Amino acid sequence: MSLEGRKGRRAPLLLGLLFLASTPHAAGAAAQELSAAELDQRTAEVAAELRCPVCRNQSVLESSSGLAREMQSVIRDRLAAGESPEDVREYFVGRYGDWILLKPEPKGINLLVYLLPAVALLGGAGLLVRQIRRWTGATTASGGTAESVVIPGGPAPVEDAAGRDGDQPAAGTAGSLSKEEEDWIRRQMESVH
Amino acid sequence: MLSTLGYAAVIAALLGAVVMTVAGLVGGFRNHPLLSDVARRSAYFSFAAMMAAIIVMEAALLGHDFSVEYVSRVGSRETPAYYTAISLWSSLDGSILFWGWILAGYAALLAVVRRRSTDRLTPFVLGAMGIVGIFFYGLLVGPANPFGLVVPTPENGPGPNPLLQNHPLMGLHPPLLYLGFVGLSVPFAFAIGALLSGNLEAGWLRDARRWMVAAWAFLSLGIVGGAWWSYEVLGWGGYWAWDPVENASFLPWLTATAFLHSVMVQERRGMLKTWNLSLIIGTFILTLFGTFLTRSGILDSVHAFTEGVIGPIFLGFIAFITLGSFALIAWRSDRLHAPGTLDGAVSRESAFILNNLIFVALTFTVLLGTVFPLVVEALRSERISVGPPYFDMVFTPLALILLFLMGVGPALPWRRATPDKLKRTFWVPLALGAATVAIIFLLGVRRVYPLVTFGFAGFVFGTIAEEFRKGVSARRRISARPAPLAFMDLFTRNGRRYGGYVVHAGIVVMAVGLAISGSWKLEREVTLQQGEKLEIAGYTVQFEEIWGREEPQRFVVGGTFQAWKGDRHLGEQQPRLNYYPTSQQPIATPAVESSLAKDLYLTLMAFDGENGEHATVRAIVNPAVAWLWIGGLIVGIGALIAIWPHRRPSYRPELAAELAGRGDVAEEPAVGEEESEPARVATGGPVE
Repeated sequence: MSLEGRKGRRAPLLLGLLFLASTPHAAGAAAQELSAAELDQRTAEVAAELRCPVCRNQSVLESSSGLAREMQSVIRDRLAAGESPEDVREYFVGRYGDWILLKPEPKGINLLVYLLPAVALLGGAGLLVRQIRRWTGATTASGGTAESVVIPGGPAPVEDAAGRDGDQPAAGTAGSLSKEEEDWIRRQMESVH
Repeated sequence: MLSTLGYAAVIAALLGAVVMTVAGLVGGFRNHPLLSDVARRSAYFSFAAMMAAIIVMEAALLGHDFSVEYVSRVGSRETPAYYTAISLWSSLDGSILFWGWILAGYAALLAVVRRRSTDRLTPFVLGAMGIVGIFFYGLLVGPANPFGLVVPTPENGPGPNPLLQNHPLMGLHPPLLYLGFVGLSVPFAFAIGALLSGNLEAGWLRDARRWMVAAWAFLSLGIVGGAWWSYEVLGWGGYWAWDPVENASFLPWLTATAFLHSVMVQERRGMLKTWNLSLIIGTFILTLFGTFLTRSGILDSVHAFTEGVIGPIFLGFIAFITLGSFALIAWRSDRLHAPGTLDGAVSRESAFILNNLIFVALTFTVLLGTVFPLVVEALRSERISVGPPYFDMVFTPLALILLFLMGVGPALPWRRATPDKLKRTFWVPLALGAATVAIIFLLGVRRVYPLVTFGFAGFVFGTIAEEFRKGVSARRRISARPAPLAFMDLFTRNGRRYGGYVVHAGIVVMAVGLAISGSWKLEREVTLQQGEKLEIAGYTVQFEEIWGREEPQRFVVGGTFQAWKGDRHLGEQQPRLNYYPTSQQPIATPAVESSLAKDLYLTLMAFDGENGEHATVRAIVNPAVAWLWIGGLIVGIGALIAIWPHRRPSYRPELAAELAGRGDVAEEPAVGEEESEPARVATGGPVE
């Protein structure tokens, strides 16, 4: 795990210094009253989701760099002045672009990074449930189907994850699949044995 | 001089790999013992050559021969000898040299271990190792040649990357990671060898699995060691940042772990043949991809990597391996068809298959999160970040499902579980899990994830304890040995199974450590005047003085602090900031006072440079971090038990049948190691 410093991050640093000079320091005139502990907590929450612009993959909360610590005090001042965490994030996005957010905003192309894992998991589970049914069906008529067998007394039945996540979507997608797609899936599953 | 010697050695290794590949593949196809022997000897030859290359490089580094290009880039006369020696892996060319050396070592070990084998598999496996060898030695001869000659010879060099010469652990965790990464090419070679030889039924999988466990153990220790290094060096109080470099090591670990579970389904039931091959091949591809990701410069910018040669070459090799491997699978598809059957949906098979689904989904998610910013940048020239908040959000629930499965899988019988059997098997673990949740809840914990983690941890420990209890009582009935000896017998007689449980126990310990340290970390940053104290979570820290010290390769500024836990004096703490001439930012060395319950972690953030009257210190109280390292160690020990070679005791079917009849140990013979070979082959045949 080498940590060779990344180059090419100088521009954000300059930007950062520029905006630091222009931040409002009217923190005292807080519209809302937050206790110091609450303010600490919220500051940390916002700082954890912002990237430290001059570091390698560290959040503003974690970084010990001067800029990150300045940013923390900006976050704190703005929260104390009554801005919502959302406002503060927007402010930094305005200065640095979406790059500053460690968790991308779920919009546009970014939706993919949130949806694809679910699609993969549910799709996989759907295929798996069908495959398990096929396998169980091949031997015995008495071997239960995937969703009907549960562990008595258990907090979560063993097939729960597959059943819950996979069953409905699988049934749902099955309806919307074309014949061709179904055949393709079947071929894929056959090659999986 | 050394430059020429080293380059000659690398060329020799490349020639050895070419001969090994040709002799291995031709020897395999023609079934020619002489050619197989040539392949074996070429493996020794390449290893000898790479050994020479490493010795030459170390001699150049330690002798400060700056006419050697690599030394001129990472060496310096001021760097201490230890860090000079390990700067072998501090930059691209050196790490590929190191990689090549380990690869040659694995190939030679493979050749030694299989020197008496007369099957067709061995030459094919060596041939496949040779292909990987050609790639890496070829890199060393061409674009990543570390032995280039620098004219005129510089007087001195810049020294290694400051972060890599700041802590002795740097000598430990990269070699472990490399042993793991490169080790994964051995199961890959077995998979390719088996596909080429066409004998996909038995033998090869067993060997591939053993090598996989060994590589997996190194990789696990390397990952935990990397986390430890990060904790001790980077000074931010954490150990895992979902950095692309970390993810690169984690991805093949995930697929290798998936394989180690699904392989049992194939061994038992002859199912999932194509799937298991794909997991082995995918794991190897992920090691290449991880190296590409971290070494090609693509992380700095999508467009940077095309300027270098390494990136495109790596991509080309990845494409070649991917297409080649899956073409082989398609070619052999007739022999891979083994229509599986499941007797019951609730069975150990199903648990393993579900485990694989989750592992693959995790792999996909981590991979997606890692490359997503690159894809977006390439497509739309926008820069976005996918960092720890995202990964924590998607990783935690999936990891918890895996934790739960860890308590279910081992206790489920193969083939089918009856409701009655399930009740008997799970009531103790479930009770233990529920009791854990209740106790933790009564202690005041209300957070969901930690509560769930604790509950599952109790459940898994219950399952493991039950398994050991059953095993011991079965042993005692057979041998009448006292319980402690019977307990030890489990490890020597069925190390694979019980070693696996030890690994599980280690993972649970780590999960608990992660849940606690992730949820109850406390942090304060305070500027202290001399003599002033700060209090945090029962700890008291007092600032005494700031000092500075000139060292040959750096300037060190340290703060002396006294620390107490309650009334107990913990001694002097000296967090430092190290100033290297090659680094603009100082590199911190935190002071960590560890205990099993909590760590006090001090980082010097800023100081009064004029007269040292005040210092800004970040104090972090990190609970249960030590359990991560302990858990990692348990995982390593478990893996060692699992692959430790033991004399296989003779299998006594009548005893197993008797035991199975009693229903205590189900179909699992606790007597011998797993089942006998013929039985496995029999179940492996086609059913339809």
